[in-house]
Amino acid sequence: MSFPNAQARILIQGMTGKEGSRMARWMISSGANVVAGVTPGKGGQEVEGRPIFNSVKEAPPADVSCIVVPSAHVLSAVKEALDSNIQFIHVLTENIALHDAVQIRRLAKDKGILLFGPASVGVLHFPDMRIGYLGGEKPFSGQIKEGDIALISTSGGMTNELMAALSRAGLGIRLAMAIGGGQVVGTGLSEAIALAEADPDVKRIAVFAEPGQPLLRELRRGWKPSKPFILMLPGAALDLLPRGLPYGHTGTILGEDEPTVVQTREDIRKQGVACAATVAEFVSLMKQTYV
Amino acid sequence: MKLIEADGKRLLREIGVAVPVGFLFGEPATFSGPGYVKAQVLKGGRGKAGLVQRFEKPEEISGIIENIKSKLGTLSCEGFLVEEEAPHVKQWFISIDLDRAAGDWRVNIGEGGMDVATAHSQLVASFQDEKFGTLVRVLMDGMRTHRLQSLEINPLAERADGSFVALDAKIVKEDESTVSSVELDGDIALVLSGGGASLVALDALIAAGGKAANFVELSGNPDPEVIRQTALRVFSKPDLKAVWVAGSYANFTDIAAMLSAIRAAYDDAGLSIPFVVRRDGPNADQAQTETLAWAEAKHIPCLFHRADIDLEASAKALISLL
Repeated sequence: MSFPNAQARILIQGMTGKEGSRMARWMISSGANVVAGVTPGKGGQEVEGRPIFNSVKEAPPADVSCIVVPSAHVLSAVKEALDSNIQFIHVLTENIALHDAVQIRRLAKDKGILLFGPASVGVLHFPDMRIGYLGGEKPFSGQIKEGDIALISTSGGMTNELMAALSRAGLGIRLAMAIGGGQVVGTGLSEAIALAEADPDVKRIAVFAEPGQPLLRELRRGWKPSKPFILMLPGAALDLLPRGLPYGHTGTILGEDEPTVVQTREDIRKQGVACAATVAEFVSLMKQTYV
Repeated sequence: MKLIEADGKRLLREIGVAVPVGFLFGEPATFSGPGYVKAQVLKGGRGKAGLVQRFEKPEEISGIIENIKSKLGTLSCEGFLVEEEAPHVKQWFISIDLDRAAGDWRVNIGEGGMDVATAHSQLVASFQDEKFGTLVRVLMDGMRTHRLQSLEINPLAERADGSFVALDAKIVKEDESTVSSVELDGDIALVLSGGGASLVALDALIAAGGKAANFVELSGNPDPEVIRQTALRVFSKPDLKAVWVAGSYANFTDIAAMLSAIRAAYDDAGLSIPFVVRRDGPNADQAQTETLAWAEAKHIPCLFHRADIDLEASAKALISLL
């Protein structure tokens, strides 16, 4: 299981749709090797100069598939990609049935491939590999600084936000993963941390996690990543809102018998893990890992 | 979403799990005793609270209901389930729910009743058992069909012939979407974007001393009309002091389209209170130019913050305008 390189051949399943065609445009303009698109019934068309096929089997061989199909079709799109031996799958689509998400995760695990999502905005690896939308239209144009941080987040928007904030402070990114904010994803926070730990160019790890993530329980019990580590945990505001319901992401649920976010931060800090409540605090804690 | 027991049992019957003969009090039914009257409340420990009571003869049912009503207090009760007693030889407990750390379904089985000791706890994918295997398969298929998040049957009664009957049902349906809108007591109208950033923004507003009038979250690229309608609902609350449109540095949201819809809602609501934006991402330059020009023409106090002003700083700037 590894990240694709910048030459990896990429398919976009659902490329004829609005999101799919924009993803094709952005990925191609940022240098990604998009070889074809797949939309059942639309074989023979072209999007952004790339051919569309009716199935993954008919399409040219590829290493990566980005899945942007409607939520009810994601599970079958993943199966199709796995049947064609695709080694890395990114699922942008959100609002997937929980039972489908569990099955997608199981299928990817059984095959031993990397799968991000559902509801993953993408992954990015400096200097030149970006899958999905992460980092916006031109992720390698200099606004995001190259460096040695791995940033892992349940939120796509906050991944981008924190990459921008770190870059403004002169701190650079090596690897960023927006894993998706659902209850079940192909690559969870702990698994993404393991990928960052295994990457020799990553020297420190930052995680943006929302209440309800199982990682928080591990951190409260004293588990720690093997590289310098900063956590940002938002959600003190959940105290204003009824518990047991999902806010922002379907995986962001503070259970009725769980400690408050403020308490969780305290518990985690007591275990010796730097835990930020705000973006400014996050950046400042990250800076301290360099001294 | 939690289902009351009567709805949960209807669902169990539909997927092929036996439940006792029963009806909601008030429905036409012929019935002989003995049996139980069960208040349909979403609360555990009903037996100990006197919200489940046994009867010998049907004539006793009305009296029992009156007695249970007197014990409900402020609990919301959706009727009374009247059930025939189901003869059995043993009681079990079974639940299936999501093990988030494993990212898979977990089944727990134990000897049932009031004090449960779990005998099995393992992932459904690897669960094999002569006694419970078929039941777990039936339950899992039903959970998939009905998009259930969790299911608990306690007690699960075993009849003399070895078959099972569900004496209770605690079923939770999957929340298919997040809570997109909650009304709060404050006076700052919020239009938040981004699953994570909406929490960060609300935290920031509270830390800056502001009081939110609502929690509203719009993610991705919603239809402009949906944005306008949602914002209009937020802006229609009386006595608002300011509007804060806040979100993360978007990867793929069209910021200009979103702001245009939000400005239209502000105009429709006839507001003149400060309008503070903290957004960046695709088409943010256009959004900023258009918003500032609109505010100037209408003499609306307005700040438009980009990514270089973080959510906390923007919240503080908004509060200092008031």
